[in-house]
Amino acid sequence: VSVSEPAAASADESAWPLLPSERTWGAARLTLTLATTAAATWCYLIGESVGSYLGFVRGSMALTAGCFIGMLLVLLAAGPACVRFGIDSVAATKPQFGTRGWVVPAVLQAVSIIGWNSLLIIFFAKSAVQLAVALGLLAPAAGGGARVPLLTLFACAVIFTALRRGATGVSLVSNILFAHVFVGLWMLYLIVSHRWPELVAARPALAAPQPLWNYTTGVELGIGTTLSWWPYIGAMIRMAPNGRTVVLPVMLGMCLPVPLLSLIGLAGVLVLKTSDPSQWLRTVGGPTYAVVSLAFVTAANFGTTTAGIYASAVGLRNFQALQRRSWTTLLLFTIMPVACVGIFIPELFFAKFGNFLALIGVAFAPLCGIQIMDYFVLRRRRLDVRAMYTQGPAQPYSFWGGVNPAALAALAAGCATYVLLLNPISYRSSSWYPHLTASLPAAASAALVYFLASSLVMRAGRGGYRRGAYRRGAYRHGADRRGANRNPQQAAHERQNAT
Amino acid sequence: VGDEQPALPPELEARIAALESTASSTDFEAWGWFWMVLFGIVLPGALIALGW
Repeated sequence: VSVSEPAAASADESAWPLLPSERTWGAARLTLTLATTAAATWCYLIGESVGSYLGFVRGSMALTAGCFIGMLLVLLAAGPACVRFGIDSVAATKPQFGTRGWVVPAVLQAVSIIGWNSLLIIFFAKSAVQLAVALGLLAPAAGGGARVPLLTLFACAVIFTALRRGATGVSLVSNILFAHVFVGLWMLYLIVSHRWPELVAARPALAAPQPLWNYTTGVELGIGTTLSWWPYIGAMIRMAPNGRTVVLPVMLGMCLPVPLLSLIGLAGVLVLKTSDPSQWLRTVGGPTYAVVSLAFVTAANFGTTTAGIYASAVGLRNFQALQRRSWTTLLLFTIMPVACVGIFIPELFFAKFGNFLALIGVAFAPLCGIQIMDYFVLRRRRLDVRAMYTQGPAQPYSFWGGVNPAALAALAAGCATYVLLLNPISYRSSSWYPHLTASLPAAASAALVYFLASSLVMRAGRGGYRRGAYRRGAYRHGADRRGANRNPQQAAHERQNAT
Repeated sequence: VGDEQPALPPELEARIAALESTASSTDFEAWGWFWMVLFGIVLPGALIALGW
């Protein structure tokens, strides 16, 4: 059986594995797309949060360090399966959660991306209205509250049109909007060069009495920020042909712009008491600079939302009910919630949904811990791509009814660990938090619980593990002493299909 | 999520067969690990130490 040409042309619109010939993004194209995806209004909000607890120099270092640590976790968790088989982040969870249990990470992904996209599209519409007013295209007061919903609708229509071309649409939008990353760096240069003495002397407004707590919170904010790239990363890196092409674009394209652009918000809140660059650039450089800044914010949010909706649509494609729907229908299904929020309840969503997103974000650290433990320790880097798409009680990743209870228990344990260490909404913390952060122990505890629970799964002969797989050298020497006790069908399947 | 699936769709079957036939399916190579250690461990460690 060969892959038909029309099917190959639309392969990036499915959640099925991409063939090497379809994975055509080189390092430069991937870097550009990832950088455009990463740069958005959330950078100022992150910078503002860090600036509440740390000064400019220490805040920059803590945030940058945290971002790189979080990015490493995400790359180690979702990266291997995505780069080997050309699949997205959700499909990569099937070996851990099961052929039905992957719905849990899929829902996390959908809620996180659709939630963030809704926020960003509202930011986009608001900054676009301000830009139009600043350019004299709109009168300051005319139109009132109808402008934001109308611009939201316009943005959704443009994103829908661009994404009709699948991943190519994401890349196209990134090519057009990539310049905004440099505009952001120019804005950072402006504030640092104009206000350096004030910057280094500025004191954070909400700093806790314990310096270690403040510093750890700076690192934690960085880790949490880049962990939230988990839902996005698979849909992007699967377009690159191999792991060699992926690592530097992820580390420098997806990770580095976040701390760099967050410094704009960090500097702004420390010196001018506002993280919004369109406000402080007016102070620094007058109305022209404010227009440039508004154009930057508008472009940044548009690029990120486009990539997010693409990643979310590919993730939803894993649901069997949506596999046979047209790409246009799936895009509408993904964009509609974002459009509805932006049109009907922008202010309510703005005020209330941030806390929910903070809670959802707690789950990504445990998810990474589970995937890393499963792939590198328990499975010794062996995955069965056929088993990811095959259902039935005898299939390797079916576990019990398609669900792996070990993964669910580990996810719950990781989330509980995080919340015990740090309440993500109130920032109330335990005495251990300043020494450990919250995300790293959450990932570690989830990995540990997964490891222990998986020993029971292996003992039951489920999950497609080789007995004693985690013992050093078991695979290398082909040692599978108790293999005869396994389900013969499963054993034959493994022999034929393990890649 | 879907019911019992006895056979894969032909298109998916073809893709999986093609992937299974390419035995060189690897994740990250030596340089990839080098950059990950550098940017994910060494650099953050140095930044945390310097900043603190």
